[in-house]
Amino acid sequence: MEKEDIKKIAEIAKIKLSEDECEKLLDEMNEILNYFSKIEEMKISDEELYYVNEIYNPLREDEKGEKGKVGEKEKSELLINEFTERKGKYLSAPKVKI
Amino acid sequence: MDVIENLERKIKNIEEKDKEVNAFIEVYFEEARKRATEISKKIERGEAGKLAGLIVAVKNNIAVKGKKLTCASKILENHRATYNATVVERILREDGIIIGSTNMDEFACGNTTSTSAFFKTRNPYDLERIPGGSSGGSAVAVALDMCDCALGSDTGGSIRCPAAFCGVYGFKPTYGLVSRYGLVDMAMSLDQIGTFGKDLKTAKILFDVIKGPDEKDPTTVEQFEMKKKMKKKMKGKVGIFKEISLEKDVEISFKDALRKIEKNFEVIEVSFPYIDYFVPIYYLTMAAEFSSAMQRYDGLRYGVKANRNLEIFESYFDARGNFGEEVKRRIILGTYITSKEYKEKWYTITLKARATVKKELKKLFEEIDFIVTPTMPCLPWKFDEKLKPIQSYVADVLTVFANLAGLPAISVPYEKFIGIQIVGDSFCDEEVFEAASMIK
Repeated sequence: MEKEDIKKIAEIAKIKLSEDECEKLLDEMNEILNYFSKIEEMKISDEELYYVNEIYNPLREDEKGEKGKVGEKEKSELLINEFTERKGKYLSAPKVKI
Repeated sequence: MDVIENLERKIKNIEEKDKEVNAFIEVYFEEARKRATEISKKIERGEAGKLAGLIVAVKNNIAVKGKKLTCASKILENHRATYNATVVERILREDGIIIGSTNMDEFACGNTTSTSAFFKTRNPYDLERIPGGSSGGSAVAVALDMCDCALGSDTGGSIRCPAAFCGVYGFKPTYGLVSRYGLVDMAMSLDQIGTFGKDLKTAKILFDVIKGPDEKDPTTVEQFEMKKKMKKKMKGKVGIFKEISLEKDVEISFKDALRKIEKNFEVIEVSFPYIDYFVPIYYLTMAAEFSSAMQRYDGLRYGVKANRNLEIFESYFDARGNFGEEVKRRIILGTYITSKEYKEKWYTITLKARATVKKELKKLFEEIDFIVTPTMPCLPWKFDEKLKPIQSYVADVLTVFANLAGLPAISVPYEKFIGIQIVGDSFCDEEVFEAASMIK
């Protein structure tokens, strides 16, 4: 990796890094990727593993959902209470500048 | 022992010893005492559940309603769980008593429990050494009789490693046997909740209570259905890897354990040419999934508060600045290997490599019942031995392959700081417990 790569990746991941942190991470990433690159030597199958157990998408019946059930309001209130800033029952978020 | 008496003894142990080891993040003594009284009466009436007052500690990445769910991170420092994890519901339903939340590596990133944003947990047998991780708090709590058993999570060895370093039993189930609903995701295709116990019986009874399909976690499966499909035939054989390098003390212990195993099994030395690739495949898989799992922390819906005076995307940077060093490292690694330019080179190859390793392990299990290894290739290192990231990653070589293939695995406490690991075929969790009983 180059320093530019680290900066670009940090931008995508929305992680703020100081110049020092960038330097340090660059060294570490290169050491790690260097060690991991041995994976290219491995004789591999063509199949990609996405899922450990051989089951298919377990879908439930198309039934009416949870709305109106007992305890709904309480559940919502608990979740809304965890918002870092709320306005009534809404989440208050920073402005989007276009 | 009487339930109330047992609880009071655990509380006393926490009050006396936890200031030295820092196993707990939060304790729930008041509720525990109330529950102990209720359950005592239930026991008298003959109505108590399967756990009947057993004291359980819970790793702080598993949701306990109304209690802090921090994952040992500044990002979630003041976040409270709004529901119980399925495993917690099942423990409460069977009259287990939850005594508190235990310390961990931040977002489970590590094998030392020292990346916790709050404090480091110390090894009870040598306070200058790591207890292992990432479920270090749970292992220490069990080791020091601060609880009867504990829950942890294991993505690459995070239950088995601290179990080995702290001298307790640590069990990771077959992938899909225990619901992850209420477990904060690290790497969804690798994570499993598992149990710690001072003895085998306690670790097993907790597993029996928490296991089973859950409609809230679609990755859970029904054990016996899956097992029937396998048509597994036990052969009385145990495989050991030829090509592993161990620290001297670990090697001596392992050879000693093998002599005991030979009394019940034929021990076969196996050449497995993929061992060198275990650590790379694991870390690349985990980092990719972890970086995705961490995207949800935006300082808005929960956790640390984003600065509202910034524009929204800037506020994400601000909030996410609260991630610790190791977490940032893994996010950067995962984001890089799944980025458009590098995805083919790194991530796709990793998926194929994992498929290969899983296939080869399954082939091996057609000839043997268990793979036995030391849990860790080395002794728990001292805090002041500043290891580079890659040095601590390679210590996971013997634990990660069970997660890659979704296999059940247990660490049996053998000698101080040393555990022996038994890995079974998929869905053979009961057999793994049985084999573990034959080692000591």
